[in-house]
Amino acid sequence: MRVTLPTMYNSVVRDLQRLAVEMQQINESISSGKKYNAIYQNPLDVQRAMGYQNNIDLIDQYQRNLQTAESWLTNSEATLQNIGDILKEAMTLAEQMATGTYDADNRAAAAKQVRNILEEVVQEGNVDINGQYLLSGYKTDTPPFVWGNLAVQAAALSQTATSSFTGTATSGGTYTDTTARTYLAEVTSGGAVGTARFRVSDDGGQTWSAEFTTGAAQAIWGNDGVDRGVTLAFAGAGDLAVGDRIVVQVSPVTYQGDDNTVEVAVSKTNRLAINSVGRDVVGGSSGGVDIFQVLYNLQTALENNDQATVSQCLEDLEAVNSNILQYQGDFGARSQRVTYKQNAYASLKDRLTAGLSAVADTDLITATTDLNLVQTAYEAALYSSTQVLNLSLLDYMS
Amino acid sequence: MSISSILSIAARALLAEQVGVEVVSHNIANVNTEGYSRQQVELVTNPALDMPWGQQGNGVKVAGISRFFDPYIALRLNQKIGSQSDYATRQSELEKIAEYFNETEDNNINDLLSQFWNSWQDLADNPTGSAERQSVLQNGQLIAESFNSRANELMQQRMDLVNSIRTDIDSINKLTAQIADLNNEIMTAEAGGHAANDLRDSRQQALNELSKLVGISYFEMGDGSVNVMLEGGATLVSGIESWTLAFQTDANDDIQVTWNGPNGYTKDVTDWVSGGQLGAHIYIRDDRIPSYMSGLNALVKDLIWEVNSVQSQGVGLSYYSNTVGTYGVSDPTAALKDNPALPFGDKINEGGEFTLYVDDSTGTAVASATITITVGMTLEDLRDAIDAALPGYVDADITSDGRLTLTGLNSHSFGFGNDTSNVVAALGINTFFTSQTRNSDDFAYTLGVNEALSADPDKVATGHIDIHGNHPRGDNSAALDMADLENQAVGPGGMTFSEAYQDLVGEIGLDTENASQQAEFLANVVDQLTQMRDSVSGVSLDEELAALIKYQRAFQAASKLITTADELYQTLLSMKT
Repeated sequence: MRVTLPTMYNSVVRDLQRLAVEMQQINESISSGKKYNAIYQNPLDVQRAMGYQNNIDLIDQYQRNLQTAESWLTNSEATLQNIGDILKEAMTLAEQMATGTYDADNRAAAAKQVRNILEEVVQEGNVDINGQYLLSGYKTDTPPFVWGNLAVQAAALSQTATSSFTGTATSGGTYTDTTARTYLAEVTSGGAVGTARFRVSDDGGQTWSAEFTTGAAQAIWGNDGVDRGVTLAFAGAGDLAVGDRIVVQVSPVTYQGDDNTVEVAVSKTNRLAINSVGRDVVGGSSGGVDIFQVLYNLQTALENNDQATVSQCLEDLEAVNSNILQYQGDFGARSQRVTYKQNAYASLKDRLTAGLSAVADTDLITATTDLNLVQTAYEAALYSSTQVLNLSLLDYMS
Repeated sequence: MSISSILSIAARALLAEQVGVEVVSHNIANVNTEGYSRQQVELVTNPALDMPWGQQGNGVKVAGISRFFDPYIALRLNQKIGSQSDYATRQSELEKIAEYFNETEDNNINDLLSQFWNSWQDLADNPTGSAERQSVLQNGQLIAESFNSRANELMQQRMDLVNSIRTDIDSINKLTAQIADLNNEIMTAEAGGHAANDLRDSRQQALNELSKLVGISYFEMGDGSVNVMLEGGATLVSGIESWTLAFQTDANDDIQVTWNGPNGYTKDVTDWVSGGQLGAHIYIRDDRIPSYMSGLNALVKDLIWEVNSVQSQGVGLSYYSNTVGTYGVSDPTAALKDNPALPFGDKINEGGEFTLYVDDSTGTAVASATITITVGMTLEDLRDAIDAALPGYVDADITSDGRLTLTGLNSHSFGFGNDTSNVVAALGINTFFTSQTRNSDDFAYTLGVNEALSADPDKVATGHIDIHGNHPRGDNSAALDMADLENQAVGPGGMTFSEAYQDLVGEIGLDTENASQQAEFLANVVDQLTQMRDSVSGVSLDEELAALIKYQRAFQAASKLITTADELYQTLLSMKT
């Protein structure tokens, strides 16, 4: 093959250019610290790096969510701990006062103490973080418990899945007794307001009254048939279904929150509830196990020097305490889950960061070695080019 | 034979060697001329003279000057130059596009999407926080601007490519005219029977330039002219005539190349244009960019719909006292479902329903109405249904550009929920993102954040209204639903939004990488063919210098012949005296 001057010249230029491009790329990857600086340098790795980055961002977010969860859960747990401690005080007091060795004056003094305990529990229950009340459900801007006189609280309607009732159940009336009570109404035959029928219990569903028909405000009572001034009214559209329940509480404390639990996302598929419904945990209007009612009844019994009721209240306090303990344990378990998730995410993030680094970051050792190689090649090419291109017959012609 | 014949042989030899030196000097002078083929003088013996002692040689004569040229290599080189130019042009255009989508830089769309979803998580952690609301809106705005600018850059490049195509076609027309002229000159010059070496080199050079611009095929006719055709078929040069190309954009804004043939005949030859810069420019402009654009639009369209669906089902910290939809219909008496003016008209579910909840000025729920979207329901029907359901509470109206507007009456405010009909989001009411008001495919270019929300961040949906009309401020269920969209396969092709975006970026990256690999490979092929061509046609200075010595020595020897003949004459003449 004939080799001509343009051939040699072109191949020198081309090879030097190729080496220069390579040097520039290595140099850029070293100075920027990134293996690739354009999406076409290695589209598959760039795409993988984007995926890694997404997952790392997501984990950062879950870790932030878990911090929120942790502060809610630990605060709630501490609150229940405090309430539990206060309750123990009340139980000790009740235990003493249930024995015959104390007289009316002692009991009146104890009643004042119970009153203080009651107010303390309300205060504890209204715990907040940055103005957000932990035990109010979604109504985080409203303190869950508000203190008042013994009064008929708003009715709480809980509907079954088949119920299409969109109206309201409204309680009312002026309470004429001095003992806190909870009226539980249960729909026994479904239908629209006026057709649907319900029965009422004032002892947690052990015994029931005769049936009432839904409609305008009417007095309701439990199995004993005694009218204590509580009324219940139904209005609105849709059909009530059998099993729909309405709780009307007569309590000194109104629960102002709602029945929702606040959740945060802790993984792609899981959400974690970071609070519990205040009235379920502590009580207040329509709560299941209601500290306030029990303490209120204890106070009344002590004021009335009613030793038998005091013993009854002691039993109720024990039930309340075990409820608190149960929720406390629940918060503890959820806190544990948070800690577990935090640890899991910390190590997952390490792995993902390492993965991202492997596809996206410049490996300085390899890059500098490569740079040396290219540099040597470039220098060698320059040297040999000058040598070869300088050769000419002219040098030997006189 | 005589001494004078020695002189004439010497004179012819001097001439021949001089031509040899001239050809060498021509070669040396053109050592760096692109497309130049080295030439060589062709020396033959002069016809011998019949002598009694047989034939006697009669010196040298110049038969002609030939060039070293391999038409087969030239043809292959011409084709590969065209392909190389095609892929190199694709590469440089795609690299520009890849630069817009450079996800290796900070603050790319992929990161922005992550940030956007994360800000919803933050809002779920603290649904009443105003900073969190602002952050959601700002991230939404950033996403919108990023998609706008990507779409804008793609459209801008599409427009710029028209200029490139204009230049390509102008250059093609100039080159074909030039080739026709060269054909003419070559045919004239070669009429005498001698090859027009330099003209042929120029013409080959012009053919190579033309190949860089557009894929062609050519062949030489018996008369020395070449015919040139587009790869697909239209004749560009035939003998001494050439025909031009022109272009315009068609109804779809695609490039249409026309061929202006003889007698005013024109033909659409777009499908015949391939290869070269022109082929690459048209391919990028009318195939790749629209494909990326539609990928981008599909992604943004799904993003708008999914985000708006969640927002439209939810409620923020406050109700609307009035609101106007962002999507309008052109005919308020046409059915809403599949309404051609509504970008999301196909999402409307007839038989579905939604509920309007009304609060009084103190924030107490006072009324609610569930509106059913009946079969064939029009915007006017919907307006009347709302007016009839909530008299004194909410007034529905239709703007002059066909959008639904709702106004709370007597200090009442309202919110939305339980929408199984999708009509709220489809009309752009209580939505997060906006796009063009009428149906077209410009979703990425027109993506924006609903002004109703940016003006009042409390409207960003975090919770839901329950069936009794309660909407507690701490409800974060809608924000959680929104954040969940990040990991749901609701984007184009059943991927998450991030995956779909990454796919698009990967496609652009791979296209660019492929083009650049092809361009590099073809550059190597072109280099090899150029070397082969140069090994036949290229000038080697050392070779020419050797030839120079060869001719110089021969010239010197021929001069010696003359002095020798002269001496012979003198010898003869001195005999006489």
